[in-house]
Amino acid sequence: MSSGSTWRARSGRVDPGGTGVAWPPGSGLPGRASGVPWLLGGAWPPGSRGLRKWVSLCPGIAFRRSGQHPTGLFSHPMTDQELTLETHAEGDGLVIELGGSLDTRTSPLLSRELSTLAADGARGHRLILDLAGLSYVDSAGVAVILDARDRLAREGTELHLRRASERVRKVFTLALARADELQPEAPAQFWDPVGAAGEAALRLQGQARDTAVQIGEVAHALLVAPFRGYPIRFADTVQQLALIGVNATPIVSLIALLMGLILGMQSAHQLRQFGATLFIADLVGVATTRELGPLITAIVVAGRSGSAIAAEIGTMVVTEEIDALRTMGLQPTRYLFVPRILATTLAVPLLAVIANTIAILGGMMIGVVHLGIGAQTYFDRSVQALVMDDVVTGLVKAAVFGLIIGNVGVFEGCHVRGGAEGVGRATTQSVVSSIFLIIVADAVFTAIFYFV
Amino acid sequence: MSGGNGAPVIEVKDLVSGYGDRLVLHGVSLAVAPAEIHVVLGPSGCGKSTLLKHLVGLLEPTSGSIRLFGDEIVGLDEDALAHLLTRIGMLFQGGALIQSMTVLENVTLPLREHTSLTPAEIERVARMKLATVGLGAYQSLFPAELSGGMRKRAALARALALDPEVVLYDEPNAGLDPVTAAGIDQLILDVRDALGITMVVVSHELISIRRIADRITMLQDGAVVAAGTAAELERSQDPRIASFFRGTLPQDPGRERRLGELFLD
Repeated sequence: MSSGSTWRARSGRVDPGGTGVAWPPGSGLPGRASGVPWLLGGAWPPGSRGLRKWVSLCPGIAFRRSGQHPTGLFSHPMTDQELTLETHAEGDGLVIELGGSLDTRTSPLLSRELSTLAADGARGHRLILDLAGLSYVDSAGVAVILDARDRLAREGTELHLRRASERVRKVFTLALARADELQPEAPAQFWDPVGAAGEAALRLQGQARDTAVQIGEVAHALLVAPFRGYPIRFADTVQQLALIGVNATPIVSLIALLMGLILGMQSAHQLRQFGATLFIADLVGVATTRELGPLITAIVVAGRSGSAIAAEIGTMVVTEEIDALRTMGLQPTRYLFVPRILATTLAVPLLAVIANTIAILGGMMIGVVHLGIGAQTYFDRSVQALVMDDVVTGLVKAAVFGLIIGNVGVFEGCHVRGGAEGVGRATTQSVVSSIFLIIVADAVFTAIFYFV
Repeated sequence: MSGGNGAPVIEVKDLVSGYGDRLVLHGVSLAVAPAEIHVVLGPSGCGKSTLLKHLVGLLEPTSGSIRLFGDEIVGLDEDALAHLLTRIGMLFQGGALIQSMTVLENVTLPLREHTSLTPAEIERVARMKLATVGLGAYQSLFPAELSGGMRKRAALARALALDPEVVLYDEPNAGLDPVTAAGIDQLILDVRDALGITMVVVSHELISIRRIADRITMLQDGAVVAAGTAAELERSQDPRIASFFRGTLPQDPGRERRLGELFLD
C-alpha cells in the first residue's frame, strides 16, 4: 500500500483522469507554492502554525515512507503506515478517498490537501471524504477533519464523511461525545485600547481596595486589638526579628563595608583635586546616614526577607493552611501578618544603624590607608559633620522602608493565584514592588526634608 | 440511627454565592440536627466545597442566612466569628496541616491558642487525640513525611483537639485506598457515637455515604435536588438522583445528531 500511494490533487485544477503523481514526489510538491496554505493550514496542530510550517518544510521526516520514524517521536505500531489520498469528481462534488492511517504524523498531508482544494475554489461544491480504505484515525486526524469542515462551511462548502469502518467511526463517536458542553471558541482578540485601559483600571481599583483593607486590618491588630484583649504576639515577633534581623547582619555588614570603601575611593579622587581630602569624612558620613545606609539595608531585606514572607504566606494560601488557621479561630492577620510586618519595621532601622557604622568605618579605612588622615582626625571630623537630624531622618526612613517590605510581602503572599508558579510570581513581584515603593518613599522623604 | 431532635445546629437558608460573575450556589437551604451525620453529596463542581467554606465564614455569601448554634454568622465581625469557630472543627481535603510544624505541634496549636492548660496537659491531650486516630507513633514527623491518609487522620486529630460540637469534613475519603477509607469512616462513626459530635461530610464516595450517612442533601449545579436518608434517595425515581446512585452516564442526545451531520451513512 505504501509504495502505490498516489497524489492526484493538483493546484489549479482537479484531474479526474488521474495522471497520478507519486507522493512524495521529491521536495517540489506540485502547486504547493501557488496554493493558499494558510487558509486551512492552521489546522494542525490547532493554533500552531509554526509547527505545521516546520513539518511542511521537512517532508522527508514527517512523511517517511517506511521503517521507523527517525526520532521515534511519532512511532506507533498502528500508525506506522502511510496516508494515501485519491481525489476524483463525483456528480457535482469531489470525493477524496483516504487510505492507510490518518494520524498525528500523516494528518498534515490531508490538511494541506483540503486547503489546496479550498483555494482552488471548491466553493459551493460538496466535498466527501471516503474513509473506506482508512484503517486508523487518531485525535489529530479527527481534529483536521472537523476543523476543515468548520472552515469550509463558512465558505459555503459542505464536507461529509462516508464508509467509515466500525473502528474509525468509534473514534469519531468518542470525539463528538458531549460536544455541546464545549466552550465556544473565543473570537479573535484584536488590540482594544479602551478595553485594556478599562481592565487595567478595574485591576488597579481592586488592588487599591485590597491594599486599603490590609492596611486597615493590620492597623487594627496593631493599635486597637491589643486594648480589647487580643495582645500582639511578641514571641512570634521576636522569632521573626531573629530571622529577618539577626540572620541578615553578616550580609548587611559586608555590603555596608564595601559601600563605605567605594564611597571613600570615589570621593577621595574628586576631593584630592581641590586639596579637600579631609572632607571625605563629611561626605561619607552624611551620604551614609541620610541616604545610603537605610537604602542599601532596605534593598537587602526586601530581597532576603520580603520575598521569603511572600513565598511562605503564598504557599500557605495554596495549601489552604491560611483557611485552616481561620477555621481554628486564629486570625492570620494577628497570628502571621502582624509579627512579620512588625519585625521588618523594627529590623530595617536596627540593621541600618549597623550598616551606617560599618560604612563609616569603610570610609575611614580609605581615609587612613590611602589619604593618610589619622584615625582620630577622621573620627572627630565625622562627629563634627553629622548632626542628630542626619541620623534620625535616616532611621525614620528605614522604619518606613521596613513597613513597606513587610506589607508588600504579606500582600503578594495573600494574593497568590495558581499554585507553585503563582508563589514564584508573587515572590518576584514582592521584591520588585518593595524596591519600587522604597525608592518612591525615599524620593518623597527627601523632598520633604529638603523643602520643609 | 438517625439524628437527634431539638433545634438544628446548623441552619442554612436560601444561600446564594458565587465567584465573580459566576454563581455557584443558587439558594441552597439545609438544616443539620444535633449528633447527626449529614452528608452533602453531588457530582464534582456542584458547589459542595463552596457550601462547606460558607459554613465556617471563609466565603462571604451574596445573600442568604447561615446560623451556627442559632447565631447568624453572615456579617458577623471577625472576633466573634473566631470565637464561634472554636466550637467547630474542620477537616480540609488535603489536610491543610501547617507544613512548618510537626504533627504534634499541629494538634497542640488550637489548644495552645484557645485554652489555658499547661504545656504538659496540652501535650497529653494532643497525644490522646493522635492515638485515637492511630497516629500515636508519628507525632514528631512533619506533614510532608506522611502519606495522604495519615495526613487526613492527623488533620482529624487537630480538628478534634478542642472537642468541638461540630466537625465538617471536605471529602474525607477522596484519593484513599478502600481499606484506609473504611478506617476513616469507622473513625467518623466512633467519634460521633462517643462524643455526640454533629458532622457535615462532603463526599461523593457512594460506599462511604452508605456507611455513615444519617441524612443526605444532594446538590447539583448549585441547587438542592434531594434531601432525605440514603434509603429514600436510593429508591428515588428522579433520573438525576438515580444516575448518581446507580452510576449511569448522563444522556447525550446531541451525539447521534452530530454524527449524523458528519457522516453520510
